[in-house]
Parts: sequence; structure tokens; C-alpha cells
Amino acid sequence: MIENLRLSINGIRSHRMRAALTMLGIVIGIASIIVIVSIITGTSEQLKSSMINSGDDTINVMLYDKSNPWNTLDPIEIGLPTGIEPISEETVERIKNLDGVIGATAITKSDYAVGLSYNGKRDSATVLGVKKDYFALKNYVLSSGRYFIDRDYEDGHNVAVITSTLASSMFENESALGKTITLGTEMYTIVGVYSEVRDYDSINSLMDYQLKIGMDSQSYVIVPSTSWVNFGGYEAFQSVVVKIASPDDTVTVGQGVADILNENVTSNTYEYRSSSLQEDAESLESITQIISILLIGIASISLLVGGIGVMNIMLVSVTERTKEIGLKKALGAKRRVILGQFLTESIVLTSMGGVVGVLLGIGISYLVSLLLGMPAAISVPAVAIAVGFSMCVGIIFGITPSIKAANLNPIDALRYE
Amino acid sequence: MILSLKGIYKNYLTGSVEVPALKNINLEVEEGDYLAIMGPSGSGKSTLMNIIGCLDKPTSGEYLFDGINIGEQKDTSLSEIRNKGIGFVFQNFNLLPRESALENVELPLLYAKVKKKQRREIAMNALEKVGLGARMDFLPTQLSGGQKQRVAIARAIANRPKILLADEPTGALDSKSGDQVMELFSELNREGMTIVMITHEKAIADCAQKTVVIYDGELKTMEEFEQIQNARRHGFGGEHNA
Ligand SMILES: Nc1ncnc2c1ncn2[C@@H]1O[C@H](COP(=O)(O)OP(=O)(O)OP(=O)(O)O)[C@@H](O)[C@H]1O
Ligand SMILES: [Mg+2]
Repeated sequence: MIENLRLSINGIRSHRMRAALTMLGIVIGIASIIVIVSIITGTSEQLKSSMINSGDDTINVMLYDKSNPWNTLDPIEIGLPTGIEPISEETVERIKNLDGVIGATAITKSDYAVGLSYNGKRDSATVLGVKKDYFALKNYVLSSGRYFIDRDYEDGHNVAVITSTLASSMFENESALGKTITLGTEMYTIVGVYSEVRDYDSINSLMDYQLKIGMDSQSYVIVPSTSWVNFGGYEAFQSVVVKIASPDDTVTVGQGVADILNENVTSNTYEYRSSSLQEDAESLESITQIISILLIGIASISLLVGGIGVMNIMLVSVTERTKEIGLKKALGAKRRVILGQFLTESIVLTSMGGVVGVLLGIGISYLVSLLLGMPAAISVPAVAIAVGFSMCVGIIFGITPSIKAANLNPIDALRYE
Repeated sequence: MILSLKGIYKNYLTGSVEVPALKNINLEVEEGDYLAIMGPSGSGKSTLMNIIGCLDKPTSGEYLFDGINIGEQKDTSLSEIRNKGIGFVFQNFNLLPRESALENVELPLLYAKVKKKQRREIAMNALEKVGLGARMDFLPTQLSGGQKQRVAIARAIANRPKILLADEPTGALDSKSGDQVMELFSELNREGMTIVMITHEKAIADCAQKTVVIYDGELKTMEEFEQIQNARRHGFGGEHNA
């Protein structure tokens, strides 16, 4: 075995140029696989870690248009469609009792803050109508004022809590507290300003960008559910926010909640479905995974071509060394000794290509992450698989030439000129 | 008895025609013999050597090597017989060009699965025996023809074979190097090595104890061969004289 390795390395050394060119296909194939995997792993790892940091462990179960998976129902100005009833307190209680659910509350939501203005200056925001326990589920940070209290609900006061993003947009440097804004046809007094705790600055990917645009910069006006009807003209609630125990349960819990809510839906147009940051991220991740599988497929073709190159060179090498093989057989080398020698040579050749490819791939990954700002993480299993794979290429494409060598007839081989 | 060939025939198939290369060869070689096989080009010397060397099997006839019936052996046991029982010396040396003299000599020991340290020791002794103790690390390209042939002889005797089989061992050498090789053969034979050597030079054959001749695929004694040659010379000679 050691002798075979020594022979192989000697053989490769004596044909450096040829060996290097033969390895090239393997090197390129392995390097591209390493680069692809590194970048994918890097991106999704950073996404996951920032997800954990964001503390967003809630899912929204909302009404979606059946015919358009991206369209949520926004009943503002048209009211709830037929077949949809406001979510009852009992339904919320049932949801709270589901496995993996820490808490749940019904909300109502509109993406259009119709008539939102302050001193005649218009602005846009998403409006939420919530119960008091909503704030307990969300990891909001109150920057000034207060959240809602029981009296706000009992008296049906037109009060509002807004995001700091909206506060700075509407009032610039002035304090928002106590200011009265117009919403719909009603006046609402601001009692609190909050911000969402989300930090995506560390992500440098497409997904990060979308999440940032989608979440962080959004303006929210939150009003007590009791005064929602004053603005929306229809009765709350049509959505549920659920706090889950573990992000791993996102899909199952979301499905369970949606099932309960759909029991009361008799509409053919709308149905409840869950959405969450995790789920969005997961679907984005699965898209990137599909892309990466495609790219790896292409890289594998390069490996295949590399393998054929190895086979070709090995066949040439067997022919060139016919005399050597004949001599070795005459000196008593058995068939499997010759087979082992050539197979080792082929495996050494492709493994060297694999190792060089891995190193090159790691180098390119770092370069890409440096130049393009994409995160790269070297995946140890991917490196191991890549090297193992290149060895397999050596076996698969080396076996035919090796068998050819082992079966040479010693006299024909000795006579060969 | 080391070699025993009885009624050996060898036919080669060229196209669809069977061409006989050896016809009814009967030959016995005892331990310690030094036999030269002579014969004109194309008479079948190398064919016979391949059969004796277990590189090829006869078309018919029985060949016993050290009592083993070669015709019945499988590929792996033939490899073992070649490895441990036979030392080959070729006309064109057949050394591995990228391996040192020492590594070349170690080769048959490697196939005999001798441990590395012991292998090295045996190979060094063999090289010293052929007078190349000082050139162990030389590559074949750094050696003269005679030196190369002596490395090949060291390789042939490394595994202490039963028989040394040489095909035109001096064919590619100048007369001085050839003489050195012949001296080495004689010395090995004095020490008890059985040698079968193929040559077409009378002077080389004279180094052996006994000489046989292959003529047109048939084995003849030296006397029979001389008679044939005389008869031919007469036939042609008459025309010359006239
Ligand atoms: N593989 C083969 N296929 C067909 N014919 C062959 C083969 N090998 C040898 N022969 C024929 O057998 C005969 C004997 O060949 P061989 O090589 O044994 O001669 P030789 O006595 O060694 O000659 P030389 O002194 O030139 O080496 C020749 O006629 C040759 O053409
Ligand atoms: Mg010959």
C-alpha cells in the first residue's frame, strides 16, 4: 500500500504537467462545489443567528385570498366579507391550549391607515387593533409613554401607540406623546411610542434586505380593539398572533392554528394561513437550496468531465507502461498488485485534485465574501464529502484502466516496443 | 530434477493459420546444471524461454517445474512460481527507469512480501555480490549497459530462485561487459545456481556446461546441429567450388 503510494507519487511527479492538467477538471469541480456550499451555509447561518437575536417567536395567522397566495385580506372600507366571522374569545382559548403555544391573542389589521394625518400633514402606516395582552406577546421596547390599560378599553377611548419610525416621520424632533392624530374620521391621542427589537445589520444577503425593507422601517399605529370600529368601520378581529415555544414548531403550530380558525370560515374565497419570519426565511432558504442544488449539479458535470479526463490519461499511462507491467508480472506481481498500483495512482491523482480544489474553493469563498460582502462559512462535512467524492471519481474512472493493466499478458507486454 | 519438458508443442495463431514454433521438445535440467540454448533467429528460443519461465503455456505436452505441473496452475500460483522459483535476465535489462538500482532489486522481494528492512538488506547483499555495492542509489540512466545487466542479475537472484533464466544476456553488451556477465554466471553456477541461458553466440554458449540447439522449432544436440549445418554447407559449398 505504502509502496503503491510511493510509486503513484513518483509516477505523477515524472509527468507533472500532464498530472496537473488531468487534475484541473476535478479541481474546478470541487472548488465550485466548496464555494457554493460555503456561501449558502454562511448566508443561512447568519440568517438563523440573527433570527434568534431578533427574538421574533410569533406567528401571524391571517386570512389569505385562496387564488393568490401572497394576498392577505384587508377588509378596510369594505368590511368583513360574507362567510367570515370575527374571531371569538373561545376560539382564542382553544388556540392557547394547543401544544407548543405559549400565548395567543386576536388582532385586526389594515395596511392602509386611511386619512392618517397630523396638522394636515399626511402619512402612511399599518394600523392594528389589539387587546391589552398583545404587548405581552411581542418583544417591543417602549421608548416613551405607556401601553394600553383597562380603562382605555372600558371607556372606549381613542388612544394610540405608534412606532418610533412613524413618530419621527410625523413629529420630527417633537415629542409624540399627547399629540392628537387623525385616523379615518376620528381623532386619536398618542399615549406611547415603541420600537421593534430587530437587528439584521449583520446579514448581508438578499433575504436580509427583504426582511429589513419588510419589517424594520414600517410604521405602525396600534389602537385598542374597542375603538377599532371607529376607524375601520367593521368589527375586530380577523387575525391571530401566536407566540410559540420553539422556532422548530413554526410550521406545525401555524397549521394547527389555521385549522382551528378555518372551522368557522364558510367563505370560498378566503382561508386562514400562518406566516412568520421563520417561515418566510425558510421558504427563501429553500429557494436558495434549489439554486445551490442546480449549481452543484453543474459543478458535478465538471467533475464528470474531470473523471473522464482521468480515465483517458490512465489508459494512456497503461499503454505507455505496458513493458513495465509485463516485467512486474514476470517478476511475480499478481494481478491484484497491478490493479492496486494503477487504482492507487488514479485515486491519488483525483484526491490531489480534490484537496487542491478544496483549498482553492476556500480561498475563493473568502475572496467572494470579502469583495461582495456575502458571508461564507466553510462547512467541514462539505469538505470531507468533496474529498471523499473526488476519491470515488478516482475509483470509478480508474477501475477500467486498472483492470486493463492487470489483465495484460506478460509476454505480450514484455515484447511491446 | 528442476525442469522436465515432455513432448512440448507450441503453435501460434497468425490470422487463421496455426504456425508451429516448438515441435516435440523434450528437455531435462538437473539442479546445478548450466545449459545454453542456441539457435538461429526465429527458431523458437524465446518461445521456449517463455514456456520455461511460466510466462506462457505450451499448446500441448507436459512441463514440470520442480515437480509442479505448470499446465494445471492458476494465474496466481504461476505468479508465485515466477516470483520465488525463477530469476529472469533479459537482453534489454528491463529495469524500471525511475527507480534506483536498489529499488529495482527490491522489486521481486516486495512481491514476495518480504518486510522492508529485510528487503533492503537482501537487495544490498545482492548488489554487492554483482560488484555494484557502491552504486545502489544510481538510477538506470546513470549506469552503463554492463552495470545495468548486473543490476538485473542482482534482481534475478534476490529471491534465491531455483533457476536463473537468461535470454541473450550479453546481446546488448560490448564484449568486455559481456565477459563480466559471463564470469558472474559461472560464479553463480559454481555456488550451485541452475542456469538456462539463450544465446546465438558460440563463444557465450561455451561458458555453459552443456549446449543444445533449437532448429526450426526442434531441439537438437550440438552434434546433430553440426551435421545439419555440414550437410547444408556441402550443398551450397559444392556450388561455390564449382
Ligand atoms: N506472439 C506470437 N505470435 C505469432 N507468432 C509468434 C509469436 N511469437 C513468436 N512467434 C513466431 O514463432 C517463431 C519463434 O519465435 P521466437 O521469438 O521464439 O524466436 P527466437 O529464436 O527467439 O528468435 P531471435 O533470436 O530473433 O530472438 C517465429 O517464427 C515467430 O515469428
Ligand atoms: Mg528471441
